[in-house]
Amino acid sequence: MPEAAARLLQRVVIALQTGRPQQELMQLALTLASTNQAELTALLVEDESLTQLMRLPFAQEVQRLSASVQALDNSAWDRRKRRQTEHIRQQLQQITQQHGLPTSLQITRGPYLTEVLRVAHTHDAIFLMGQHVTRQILQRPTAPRPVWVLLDNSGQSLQALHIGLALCQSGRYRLRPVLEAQALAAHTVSAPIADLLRQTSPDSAALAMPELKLAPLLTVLNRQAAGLLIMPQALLATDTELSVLEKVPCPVLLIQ
Amino acid sequence: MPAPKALSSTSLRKFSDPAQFTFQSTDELEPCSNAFSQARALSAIQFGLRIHNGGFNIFALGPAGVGKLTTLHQAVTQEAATRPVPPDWCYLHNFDDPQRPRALSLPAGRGATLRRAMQHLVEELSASIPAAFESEDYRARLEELEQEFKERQSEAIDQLGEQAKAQNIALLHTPSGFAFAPLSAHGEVLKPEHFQRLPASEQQQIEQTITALQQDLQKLLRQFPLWAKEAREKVKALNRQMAELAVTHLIEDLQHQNSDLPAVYDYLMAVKKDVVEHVDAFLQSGDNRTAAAGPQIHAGTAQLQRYQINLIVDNSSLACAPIVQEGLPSFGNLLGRVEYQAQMGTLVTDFTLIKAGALHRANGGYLLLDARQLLQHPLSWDGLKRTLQTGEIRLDTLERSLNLFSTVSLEPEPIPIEVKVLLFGDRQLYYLLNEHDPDFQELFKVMSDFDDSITRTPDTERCYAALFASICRDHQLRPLSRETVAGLIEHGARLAGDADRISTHLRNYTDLLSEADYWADAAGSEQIRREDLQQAIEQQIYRAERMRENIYRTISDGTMLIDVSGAKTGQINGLSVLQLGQFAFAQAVRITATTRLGDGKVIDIERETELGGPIHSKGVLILSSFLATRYASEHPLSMSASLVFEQSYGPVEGDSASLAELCVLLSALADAPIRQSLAITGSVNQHGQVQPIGGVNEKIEGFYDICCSIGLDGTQGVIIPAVNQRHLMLREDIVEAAADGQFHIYAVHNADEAIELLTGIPAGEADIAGGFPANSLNWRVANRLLELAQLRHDFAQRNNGVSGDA
Repeated sequence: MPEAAARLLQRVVIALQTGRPQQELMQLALTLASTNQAELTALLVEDESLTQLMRLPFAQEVQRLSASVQALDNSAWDRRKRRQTEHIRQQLQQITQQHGLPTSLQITRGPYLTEVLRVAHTHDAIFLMGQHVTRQILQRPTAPRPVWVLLDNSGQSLQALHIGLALCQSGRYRLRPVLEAQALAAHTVSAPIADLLRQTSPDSAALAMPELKLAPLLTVLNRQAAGLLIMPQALLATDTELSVLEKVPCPVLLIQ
Repeated sequence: MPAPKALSSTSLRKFSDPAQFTFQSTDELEPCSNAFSQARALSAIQFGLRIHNGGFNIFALGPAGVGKLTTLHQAVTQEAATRPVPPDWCYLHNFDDPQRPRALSLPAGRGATLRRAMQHLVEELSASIPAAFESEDYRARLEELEQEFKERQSEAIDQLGEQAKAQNIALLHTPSGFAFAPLSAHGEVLKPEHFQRLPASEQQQIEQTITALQQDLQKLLRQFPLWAKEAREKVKALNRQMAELAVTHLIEDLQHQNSDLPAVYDYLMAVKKDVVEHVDAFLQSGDNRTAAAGPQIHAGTAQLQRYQINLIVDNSSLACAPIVQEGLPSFGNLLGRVEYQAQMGTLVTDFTLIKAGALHRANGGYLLLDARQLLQHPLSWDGLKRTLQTGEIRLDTLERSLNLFSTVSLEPEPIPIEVKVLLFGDRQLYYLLNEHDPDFQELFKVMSDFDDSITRTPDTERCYAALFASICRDHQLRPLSRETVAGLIEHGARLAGDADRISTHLRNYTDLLSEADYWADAAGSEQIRREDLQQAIEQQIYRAERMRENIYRTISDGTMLIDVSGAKTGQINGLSVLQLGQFAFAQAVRITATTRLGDGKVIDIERETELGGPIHSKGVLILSSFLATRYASEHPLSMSASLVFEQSYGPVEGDSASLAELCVLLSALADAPIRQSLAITGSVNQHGQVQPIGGVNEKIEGFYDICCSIGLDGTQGVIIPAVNQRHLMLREDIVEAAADGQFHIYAVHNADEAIELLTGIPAGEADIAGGFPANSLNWRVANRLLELAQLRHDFAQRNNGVSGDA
């Protein structure tokens, strides 16, 4: 990770959701936090809708894999939450011991995005879980997965680009910068970003979009196997963007 | 009948005259094979090699060292040069049945080319297939399929979600699936307390709606695997398409290069089909190479290995038909084997682990095998016979043949074989196989019998000179002077045990010449001189004669009682030969006889003590018959006699002492002392004729050495059968002693000549009435026997009043 990025990230939050797998996101967050020697906060958001549903007398679940119907057991759900919390706590302890990073765990309840943005507004970077994915994998990925990086000319963009490049060094990801078409045509992309982009491989061709909005990008992300989306949080200016964010089919890293 | 005179010294050894040779050194001679000495055997080999009917394989028989293998090699090399190079053979993966690898024949040299081409193909495919699958085009098409599938699912779920929402129900994602929950007027999940407050009918309605939605969702989710299967099929079809794109031009190139070989063309078609079907192997081979992924790596590697060519017979370097000699003809070495590799604790194999045997390598040519070695290795003989009978090499493991263990193994396609097998071994083995194995005669119809010796003529002596020259050249030895050649020929005659023959034992000559070369080198000579040869012979004897020295010492120091002077009745010097390894020497043995009144039996004490062999006993019975016939034809043979080999504690076999036994018996009967300065050897028949014996030279030389050790006084000598005269090739020192009148060799035709020499008393010829001249030795024997008969008659009358024999 370049020096510029390392200096800027001091507090990283990883936003987890009860009952959902967290391993991949934890790994990503650890990579980023350890490189920057940043404080890592795990934020566990309890899905209120599910909690309400559990308490209803006819609460049932249709299993994704078997299509069978099973009663949702409130006590089992509670046990599952406790187990997940304990697991996260252990992982954080391990991170502190092995990497010397300060870690903490916060638990909150409410709508996922709302709660994350409310609690994590003081952090430099937020890892968000992607949308629930119902698709089955047809075959193993044959190539590194793309890391989409939305680049306006902000300092957060430069930060995002640095992070994206650092992840690509592992060989598991390939960089896909997303730029505003007009900025690209008018050569108004900021010099540091342009310099960095010139150093990237031809495989990392930039995607030019009429405007840096999530809605049109979502179509692209759905069509291609996205690995991670990195973007400045400032691009989520409207409620519409926030609602689209919930539908992104891969983890998202917001740079504040 | 005058007693025979001692043989002249010139008849005791047939010298080879160096003057007959026109060369000074064997360097001047053209090389020559030993074909002249083995004409019969060579002719048989040539016949066997040229006849192409089944079963005309060759068995070369003869003692070790006569040059069987050399002759076979020379003949086979000559014949092989006229025959074409046979095809290469390889084993290929059988795509239809991997347990039964296919055999493929290719023109010589094309096997290696195809093997390289297939290795190159796999390398090319390992690069081109992943490249095709990493292309933008492929990615785009794959993502399209993914998206199509994903959208199909998402749309269906979303549609159901909308349908639910229209009925005021939310579709929620749970950790492992989906759930439906009623919504409040604010669009949030209805809290339980609010739900409880709803009228029962409304609650029921909600529950029914949710149940119906759940059923719809179940139906939908059950569709998902089918959709996934459809999508996977599409992905597979895309993969096949991409693979074909990457493979086709490479395979077609190879097919074009091998368009003259339909079998290769077909094989490449099968390879193409298989690559397309198993394209994942090429994608795996490039990545996932971590320690944890061991089995997967093996699976991927094994997958690629199947496109290799196992070239088991590569004849690219041959210029003619192959000649293979297998020194260790074990089952596997002969018929090939399937090897195994230990992987993950189990033994696995595939067609690349098939190893060729000698039969594979000799296919289309010649295979030379030592018969004894072949028979010593379990199942090798059976395997060879089966191959020759069926005309194909069926590769089977020894373990499976013996049912030792039942690992899943391969059953490679048998390979047709056309090979001429040349076995070599000793005569005993040949005759044993002939007698006990009915298949042998069918499979080895050509017998090539190697002579031990050939007739010695001036021509053959010259041929031998050239042969010795070849041996020296082949073994980088110094050349021989013509005197050395003459000495070597004389040594060959001694080896043959016949002055008129010469041994064909090439190994003896080679070994002796190597030793002589050593002594020539030590003496700083440019040539191997006669004295070098003599020193080599003496050194050979010196190294082997410890036992002989010991025995002769016991004679000279009086431990073993042998007289070489004076005269004694009923005592004679016999001669026997001891063979210790390659070294043979004579041992003098005192034979004594006693006679007394009896019923006509000659007691062979050796026989009575079970030390005498059957041939020896036969000799004793023959001389008994001679005695009875000649001397007691008109009255009972009324004597008993005992014969014994004094101080002999081992088995006695052979009839070469029967003349000595007869003479000592006659001496005892006639009370005629025998000259102890003479030793005697020879067998005798019922008519008293003396017959030849073996080892005459060793026997004479042995007695001469004993006499020398005790004291040579000019009276000593040996009596031999006259027929053995032509076998005489005595040591030069004995010839000189004979010439000086110090030692004498007498050749006798019958027992009368022998007994006359031994006793100095005329034997006496029988007249018409059967009577012998008075005082002759035979008269004394006859008289004594008559006396004994009378005594016996009187004795019988005195005691019983009746003669026992009447």
